[in-house]
Amino acid sequence: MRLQLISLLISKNMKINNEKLSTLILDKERTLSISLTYRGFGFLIFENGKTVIDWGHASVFNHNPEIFEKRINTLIEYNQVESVLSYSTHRRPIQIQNNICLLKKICKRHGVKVKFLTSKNVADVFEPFGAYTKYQRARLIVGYLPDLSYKLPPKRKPWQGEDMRMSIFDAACLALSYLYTKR
Amino acid sequence: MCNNYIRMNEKIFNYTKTCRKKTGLSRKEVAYLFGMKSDYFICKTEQGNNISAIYRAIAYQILFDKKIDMIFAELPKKVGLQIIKRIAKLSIELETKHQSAATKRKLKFLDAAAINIATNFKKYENK
Repeated sequence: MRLQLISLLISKNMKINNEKLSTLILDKERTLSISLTYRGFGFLIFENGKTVIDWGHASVFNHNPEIFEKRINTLIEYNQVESVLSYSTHRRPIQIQNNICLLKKICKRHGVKVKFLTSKNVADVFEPFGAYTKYQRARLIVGYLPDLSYKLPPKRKPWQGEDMRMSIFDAACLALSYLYTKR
Repeated sequence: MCNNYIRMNEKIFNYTKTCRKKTGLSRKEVAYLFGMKSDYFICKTEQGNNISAIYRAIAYQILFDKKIDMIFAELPKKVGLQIIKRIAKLSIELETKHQSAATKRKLKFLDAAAINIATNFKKYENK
């Protein structure tokens, strides 16, 4: 048995491909959900639909496609993401639509699946839980994912702009609603 | 002997960033707790670079089928003592600052970590 194993490993015909090995070892499904905003994007990475690995928001100055591409590339490559989630282009500003198209191209280049959800899909999942507004959804998510509690901004006043941190919860909404519908 | 060397410039995924983010500590604070001057190494480790030392330690563990704290028997106690001292210093520093939700979270974690290290000392003594 031992000899067989050694001969298998040493045999010249068998070339150990590092990439194939890493996929064998890391059989964890990671999904990256992105919520694009005017100032950049919020992201959240789920592992096996249970644990959150990484979260945060990135500002993309002046909707620069090069910066956007660079940031998305690092997120996909380092975290070895299998699928990417995003809101669809339906009724979104032109700059965001362009970035979503760019996201499609990047994912195609990396061989990663892309899934688009509409805001209606997300609302359909959260409304039965009594979460109608973005803030109510964020509060609900904090209950489910307490690690994100420190990122929850104070409730927005009518004369104030939206906090950048809300994009993280938007991305979380997207990921959770996708997982919920998948089940 | 063998041409299948691991490339050290290769980025390797790890959960260091996730662990740090869950505690609420900044990179600089973690570097201070580890006794480093700058957060350069923490940053590099979180990006999956510069892990040759960690790679070697894990290789020892796998090859000899023993845990790292068994192989480097005196290190955990030494490191633990140093970390406890730095935790005390850092928590005093944080207590003087404005008590925001983030600092409260950090202090809560530091207290728990200090207790955890102290209980682990007993385990090492028993060994």
